[in-house]
Amino acid sequence: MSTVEHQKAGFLLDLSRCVGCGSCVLACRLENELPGGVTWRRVLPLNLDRHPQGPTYHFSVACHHCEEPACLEACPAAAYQKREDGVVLLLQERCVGCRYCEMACPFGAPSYDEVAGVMTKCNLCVHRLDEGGKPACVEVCPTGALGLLPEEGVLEGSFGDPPGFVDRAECRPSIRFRRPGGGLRHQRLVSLEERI
Amino acid sequence: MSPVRPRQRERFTETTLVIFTSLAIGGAGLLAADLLLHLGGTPDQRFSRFVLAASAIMIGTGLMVSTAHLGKMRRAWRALSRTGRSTLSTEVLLATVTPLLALAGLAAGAGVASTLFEIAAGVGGLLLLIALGYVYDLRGQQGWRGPATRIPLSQGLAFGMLAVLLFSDLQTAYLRPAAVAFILLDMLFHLLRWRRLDPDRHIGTPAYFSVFAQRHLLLLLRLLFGGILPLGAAATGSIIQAVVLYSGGIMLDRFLFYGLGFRHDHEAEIEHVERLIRS
Repeated sequence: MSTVEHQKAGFLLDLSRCVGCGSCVLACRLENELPGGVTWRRVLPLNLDRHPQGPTYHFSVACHHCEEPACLEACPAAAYQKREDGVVLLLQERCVGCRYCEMACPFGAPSYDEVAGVMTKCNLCVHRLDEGGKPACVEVCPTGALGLLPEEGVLEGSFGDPPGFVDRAECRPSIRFRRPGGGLRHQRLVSLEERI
Repeated sequence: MSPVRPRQRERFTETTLVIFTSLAIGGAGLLAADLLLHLGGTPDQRFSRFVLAASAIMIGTGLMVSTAHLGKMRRAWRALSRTGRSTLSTEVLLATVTPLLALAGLAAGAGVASTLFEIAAGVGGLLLLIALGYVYDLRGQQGWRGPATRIPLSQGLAFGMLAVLLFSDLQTAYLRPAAVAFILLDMLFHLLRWRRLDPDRHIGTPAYFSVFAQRHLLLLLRLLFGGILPLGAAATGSIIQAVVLYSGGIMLDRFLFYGLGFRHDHEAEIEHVERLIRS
């Protein structure tokens, strides 16, 4: 058991519960009326045995609302803002569409809207958060795998980044992964060292 | 060769950036070479007039062309909003101010004022060459970091010194060795960058798989046009040939810079983990 401090806003993903259904991706598209070609959330599978019966886990990833956002640091037009609660917002009315943040982000979060000529990005559904609600992706998740970090700023439990997650030292992403320990679908998270 | 999942794009979207950076490297290189002449105590009025005019045209034209890359061209002025905090914003400022200083130097005619503008433009050119490299020192682009950040500076200085040799009455002792030295330095950075572009070193997902698949041939061509052939031409006294070949080398290098861009993202990390497991 360990405790982890974190900023107020961010996602919490339970790796033992995510079955890769993609409901979060669809909910995000519908809630934010995303145009074709623009994706804010992706589900990426990693099947360690390349076999249907092998251990598989899924990353449901969007913007990680990093504590040191590369997008904000890079943007020449001051189009990014970091709120007090940690949400990294993109102000489209300032964006010049240079796509520099797209190059800078190590996580592939900013997505270019070719029609509008500006960048777009997950905003943690701040319109819902500010009214006490949850982001659409979190609300729709059928297994409870995708959640929000608790407001207290401290997490208890078993956490750790799985193999396949970009080095946390880059930008200090806020997302935390709860390691398997039960749940609707038990998966044993095999470490990379065991697999090689 | 280790398998790398192709990420196909419909088209090469950085053509305007290739044009901008090629022209900026050439123009800023001329200014930097002129600055070196001043520092070496051998300034030349004729060369200076040529440099001020050529660099203003090259950098100014490149900057205008680069705005075509923007999704919102009318907001281009906003790119100056974070000067000193965003490397790109600082680069845009330098690319805007430097040609203006060069034009001011031309307009001032001869005399102290013109020399001051000329030196300021030279400093601006040198800083622009540095900025052109470090603007791409990004956490999301491992292949663009390290030696690649120094290439615009070495290329610009090499190009500028070759241009100086075109003015045959400027044959001071250090000019030809300086040109050769900068070309060799650029070749060194290129080789170090080439070595870094090994997928087994885990650098991410290629942006243009078709370019990545041909990278060794293309990087060799860059070495030829951006180093070996110009050196050979300069050694035989064919300076015009050397300048033309080297210009081609700069453009090819810029194309390869964007063409061999990588994404260091989740997909690339998963690909890397799966490759480790399979190996």
